[in-house]
Amino acid sequence: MLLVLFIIQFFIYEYVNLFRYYSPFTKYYINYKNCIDIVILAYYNFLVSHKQEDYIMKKKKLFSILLFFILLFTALSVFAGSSSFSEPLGSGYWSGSLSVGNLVVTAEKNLDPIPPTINLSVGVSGTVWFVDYYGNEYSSNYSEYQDYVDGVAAVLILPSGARTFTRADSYHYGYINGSCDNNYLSASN
Amino acid sequence: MKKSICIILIILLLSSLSSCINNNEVNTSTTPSLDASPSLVTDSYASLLPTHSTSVDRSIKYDTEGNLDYQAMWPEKKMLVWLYFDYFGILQYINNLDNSNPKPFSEFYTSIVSDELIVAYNDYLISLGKDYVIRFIRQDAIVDKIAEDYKALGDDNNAKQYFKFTEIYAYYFEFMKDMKNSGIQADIISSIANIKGTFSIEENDVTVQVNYTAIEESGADEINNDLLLDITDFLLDDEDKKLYGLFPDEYWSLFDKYNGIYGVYNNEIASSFIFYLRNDIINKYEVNISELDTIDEIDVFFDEIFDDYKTEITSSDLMLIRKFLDYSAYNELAGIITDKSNSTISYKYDADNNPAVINRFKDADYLQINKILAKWAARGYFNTSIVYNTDGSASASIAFAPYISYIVPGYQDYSNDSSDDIQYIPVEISRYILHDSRNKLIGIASWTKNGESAFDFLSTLFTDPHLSNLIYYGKNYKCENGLVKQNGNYSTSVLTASHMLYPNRVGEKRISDFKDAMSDAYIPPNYGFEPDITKMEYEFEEISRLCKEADSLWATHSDNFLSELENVITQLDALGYSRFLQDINKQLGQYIESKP
Repeated sequence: MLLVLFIIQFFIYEYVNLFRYYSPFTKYYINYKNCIDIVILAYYNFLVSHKQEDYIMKKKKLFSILLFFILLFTALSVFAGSSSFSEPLGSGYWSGSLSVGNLVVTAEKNLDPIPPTINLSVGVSGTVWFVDYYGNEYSSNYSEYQDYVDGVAAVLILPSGARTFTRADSYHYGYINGSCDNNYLSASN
Repeated sequence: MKKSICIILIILLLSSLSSCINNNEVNTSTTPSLDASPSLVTDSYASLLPTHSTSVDRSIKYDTEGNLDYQAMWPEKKMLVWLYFDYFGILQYINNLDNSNPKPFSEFYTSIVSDELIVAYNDYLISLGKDYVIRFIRQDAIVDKIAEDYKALGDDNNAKQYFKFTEIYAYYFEFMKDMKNSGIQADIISSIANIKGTFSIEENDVTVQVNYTAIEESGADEINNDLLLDITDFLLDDEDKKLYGLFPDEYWSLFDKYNGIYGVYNNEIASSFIFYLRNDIINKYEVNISELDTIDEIDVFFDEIFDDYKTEITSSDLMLIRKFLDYSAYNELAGIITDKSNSTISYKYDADNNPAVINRFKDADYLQINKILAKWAARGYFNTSIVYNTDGSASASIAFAPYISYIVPGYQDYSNDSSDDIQYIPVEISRYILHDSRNKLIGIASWTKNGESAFDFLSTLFTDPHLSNLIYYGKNYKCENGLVKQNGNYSTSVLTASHMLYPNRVGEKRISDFKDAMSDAYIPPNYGFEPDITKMEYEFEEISRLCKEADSLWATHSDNFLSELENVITQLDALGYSRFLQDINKQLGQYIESKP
């Protein structure tokens, strides 16, 4: 069992980012209203609607729960600095994570609704801090909000001339079928 | 066999979990071991390493109010008070105030310097024979007024943004002034680092980006308001000149404009340009990495391997070299230094080795290095890493695409966090360049009554690696072969000497080389010089735009770089650019003549 877990973790670590960021079920676009390059990904992988059959939802639900724990474990163990939460929200759960690496900061928000679900909204915003080679510090903000998706990820890329990300914080907003909540995370590299 | 594998896997998984718990920024109350003895340090270059005497395990004594009892812990030892500002910790607390049920500071905030760490730190100072210990100022002494004023802003979110990003730093400054005026003891002062950036506000339902500069020059306000002590006499005292002798004379000239030396700029001091090449490429082509120490050598090497990768470059996101530098930064490899605050002005040593202002766009070395960069760009070596900088739109691939090599202006190993394998091998491709950024000043409080001890501590901090590494990595850090295999706490960097920190990645600089680097450091021709353009009448905005355009031509017009550059030069000449540079050159000459 441990071997299986280890292999899963290794596989996820090696491939999960590429899988997720190039998955046909996700979309990405460039948000250049910020002063730092940011790639926003919206997840449709587990998009649910009241029209879908329950048995399909149960399978997806099981898979999403499994994936959540794998990702949580992976994210916590791989990234240099990270923090996360997972809590009940309305008719389901919501989770968020923030990870700070040298070159990339990723702030994610996921909803895990139990059907029937009509309306979903997610938002994530915050600030990243980075330094140059002379110890000068810089900060830049980011934000993204989307309706009718069950997750967004803001991937922030270190600007040229900078040395490394040092810290980040993130405000997470989730809405499932009439219930909403906010959460705050911070992490250091 | 299966059992062995299981045991190994359990250990791996537990260590993985353990590291993730350590990395979490969540405030958790922990009770670390009281073992204060520093770990054995093994470094083949031991000249800078301290001789550790083992501290004893002992319980921490608290006074009746629950605070660390310095008198009981270190009887008859002088206490030096160190002022610093934990911006990120206080910001998190301020953000917490927006919650429906905010926690009080005492419950929310965990100090970046725990009591256990203070004991280890001070026991180490005692082991060095010091007659003083350090008391780090508690942040709750500063935060009350900040919290009160933040709450008073109510629901004005725009005002809160300004408060958090620009106004909050002033409270530390006022706190220091109050301490001085009230005669409250302070001995060491860490100034806040230079910081600028952007934040957003809402105006008429439209999000507006605000550019801000919170701290333009670290320590300037403290010096100008007599909060810092002139330490020149201490520095030049024959009894202890090790701090003065640590840096080249030019370094201390950064204080010339203040007519006194008011501390030590903790600005990373100096660094060289580094070329990192992926280890598998080195093995595949049997490269002697030490021979790839110039742009020309690197160019020849890329010529040799290009055919093997050109299909992959075209069809995928592979980068032969990833661009991490600004467009003009590569020119420093040719000894051309561009002013950081005014990108229109460049400097170089002339044939007689005298500093001079140059028109870099007509300089032969500039042309040579930019021609090479243009060739690399035309062949796609940089791939998307120059596209996203050029047109202002990022490629999603840039964050995760592979790259074979990169150049950076200082050691920075971007190997994967979780792998112990050596992924990129560094080689220095320039001399060490002395930094002239006035940043992260650490000095002595002007109202101290312990000037000699405070200076002794300052001198020890900047010459003894253990003090900085203890604070940065924690009391149980272990340094093996000059490497600490754990993450440090960036928030503590205000309490460390940056050049004294051990690296935590294989491909980064060992501090044991620092002394050698200092003895041969390259002093930029404009070191300490600040051009004054306030009384000049040129079209600076247009000149600046054209200079930036010219610097990026190797990327934007790689096929016809030279002809495009000629066009820009013509436009600059029409704006009186040459005359402007002559004016600045006169200022530079006067600055050099005025130096003692």
